[in-house]
Amino acid sequence: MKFFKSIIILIKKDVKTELRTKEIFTSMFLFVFLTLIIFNFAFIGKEINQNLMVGIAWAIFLFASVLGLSRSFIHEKDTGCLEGLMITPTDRSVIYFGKAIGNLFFILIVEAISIPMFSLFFSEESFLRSPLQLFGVLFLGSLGISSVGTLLSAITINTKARELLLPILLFPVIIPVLISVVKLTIYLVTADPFINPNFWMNFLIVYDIIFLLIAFLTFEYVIEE
Amino acid sequence: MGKKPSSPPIIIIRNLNKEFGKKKALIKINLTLKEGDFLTIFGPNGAGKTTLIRIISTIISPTSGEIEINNKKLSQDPLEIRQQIGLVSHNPFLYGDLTAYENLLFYGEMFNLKRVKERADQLLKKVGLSHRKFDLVRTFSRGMLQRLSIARALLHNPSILLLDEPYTGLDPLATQIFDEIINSLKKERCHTFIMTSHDLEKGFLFSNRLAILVDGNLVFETDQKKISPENFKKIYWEKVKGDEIF
Amino acid sequence: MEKWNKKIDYFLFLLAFISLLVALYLTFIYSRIEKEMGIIQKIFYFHVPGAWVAFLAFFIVFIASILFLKNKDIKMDIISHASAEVGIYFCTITLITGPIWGRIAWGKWWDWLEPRLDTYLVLWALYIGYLVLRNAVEDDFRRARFAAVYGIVAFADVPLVIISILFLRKFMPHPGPIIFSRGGLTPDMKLAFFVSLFAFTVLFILLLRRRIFLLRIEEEIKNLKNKLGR
Repeated sequence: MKFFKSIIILIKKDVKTELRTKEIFTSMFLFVFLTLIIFNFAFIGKEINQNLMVGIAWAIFLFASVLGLSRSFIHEKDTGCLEGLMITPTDRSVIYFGKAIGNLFFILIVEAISIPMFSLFFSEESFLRSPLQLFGVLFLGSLGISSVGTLLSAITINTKARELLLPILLFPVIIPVLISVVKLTIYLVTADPFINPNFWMNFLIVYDIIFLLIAFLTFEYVIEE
Repeated sequence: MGKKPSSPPIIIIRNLNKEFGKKKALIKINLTLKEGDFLTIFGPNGAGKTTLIRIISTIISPTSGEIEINNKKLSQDPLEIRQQIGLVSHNPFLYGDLTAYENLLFYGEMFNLKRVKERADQLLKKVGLSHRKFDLVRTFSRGMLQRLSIARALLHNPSILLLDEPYTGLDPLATQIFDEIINSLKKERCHTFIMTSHDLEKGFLFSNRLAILVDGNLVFETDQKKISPENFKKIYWEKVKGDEIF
Repeated sequence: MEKWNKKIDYFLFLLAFISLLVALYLTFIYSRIEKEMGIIQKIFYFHVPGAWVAFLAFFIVFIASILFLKNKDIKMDIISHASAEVGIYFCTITLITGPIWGRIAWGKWWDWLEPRLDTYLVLWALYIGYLVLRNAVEDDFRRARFAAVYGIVAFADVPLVIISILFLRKFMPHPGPIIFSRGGLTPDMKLAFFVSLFAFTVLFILLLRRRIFLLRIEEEIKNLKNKLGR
């Protein structure tokens, strides 16, 4: 019980900081917005089919997530607060789950605002055809990104290259998530009969569980010397 | 000073070793502290002082050896031990984008305190920062950060206070205020203190126990009363220089 | 102990040398030229053993990483470091020979519909990342911890990558021929293949042992330097 309470306190603190500075959210959202504009100009005059649009959307989400993830430990690191957290009577994994859920939260909000924007710019309403299922896909996909990303972000924050290293480590690991969310989203948008949504849904759930478990088991080795 | 000669040991450190890979940071440290003791550990940079403090405060775990605090083993019950310990380091562990008050509330909640708000107010008053309660910590001077850091460390009313180079970066006025706070803490409760420092005079004044740590070895340990400041200085330089020549 | 290690290495060297020569002979002279694909099929005798050894190497990284986190023994870190480096070489062999074969067989260097190539590309990226991470951390012990965690994450990702890439194409018609179908191997080809597989494995073990040896010496030099420096 105290475990969950501590996680919530930690998330509340991060949300409060974010509401005050608006650092992460603004940069993530602007990134999505500007990349979308870039893509529109890059593809000008060309027919963008739905498959391509879904791929573009997820690639942009992934890049934007990296922005947020790479910032998530900065406040803990720069003033030594990570150690401050480590001397509070909570399990190490509280810090991981607090950060991972917080990141998931930020990513989901950015996605939720961006998706209608995509529909608008690409004049494509099929994106919003089944909002509930789409949210499920967004949730599981973003959970995958944030579960691995938070663990790797705790690593890269302590390296020389810092933010530069995170995408290099994260992208190859996240490829299975990218494949399955793209498949699922295409299925939701086009109802492609060649896609088996149950398989990809289960696959995504397995992926999320595996990496949440690995992070749960290894996080203390990342922060504790 | 709240020292009672017959009080039972509150911290027992037995055969403590810490290795980072092949590098030995601490070698066979043995120490016993009674309630009310004020131990200052001196040593040059890289001697292992901070490592020792970080082990006692459960931030890192030792390679071998055991620490007992209030009859609880650190390896078995770290969460319980964290309730007993407050840590003031040269890093303040405070969030710049939160106010002084919010910082204290956050840590207080993490410690699962009841009546957090009253406690935070009380401590802000104690360290003389009530007037800056609602200011962002980012705007604080080094000395104010360090005072707020003490308030943060005292939130859960720990019986042991660890001070890791607390004077780093403080100007003379801030140092004086900091001294006063520590002196008042020493008087009011049976706090047990462990401080690390390379400032010989400062440490000598506060402490009733002195120790010297060189290259991970506890090379000297004594009661403060048994030795004169001059003598202690001599011994310190011998130990440290001996290391440099070797 | 040191003496024995040297003897083992000499033995491994001889074994690798001879078996590689035999493998070359079996590949190019003894075994027949495959009817449909022609001479390019010979690449198979290097491509697949390379892929197997890379996989073995990354598996060793995984196991050594777990053992490091468990016992904090820096030896395990050295093993995973060495294994990742040597594994990358073999993975690179696979990635180079694959497209050469593909150029002849499919008429193009890279076919994104070929799951094995895709998988090895991701594998390569994962362990390049592993080595880049090692390079980006100054402190030895910290580097070992981070690398171990990433070594575990990366290997846990491998089966997921394989499954997702396999199923990515499952309901799509595959245009190119299915490479390296197992049924098509005649006894002489089988012999050449397994000798080559053996030779590659021995070579890998030898290289791994030498790399570990070198890394240990580097460690020792660093320690001595530290002692003298202060």
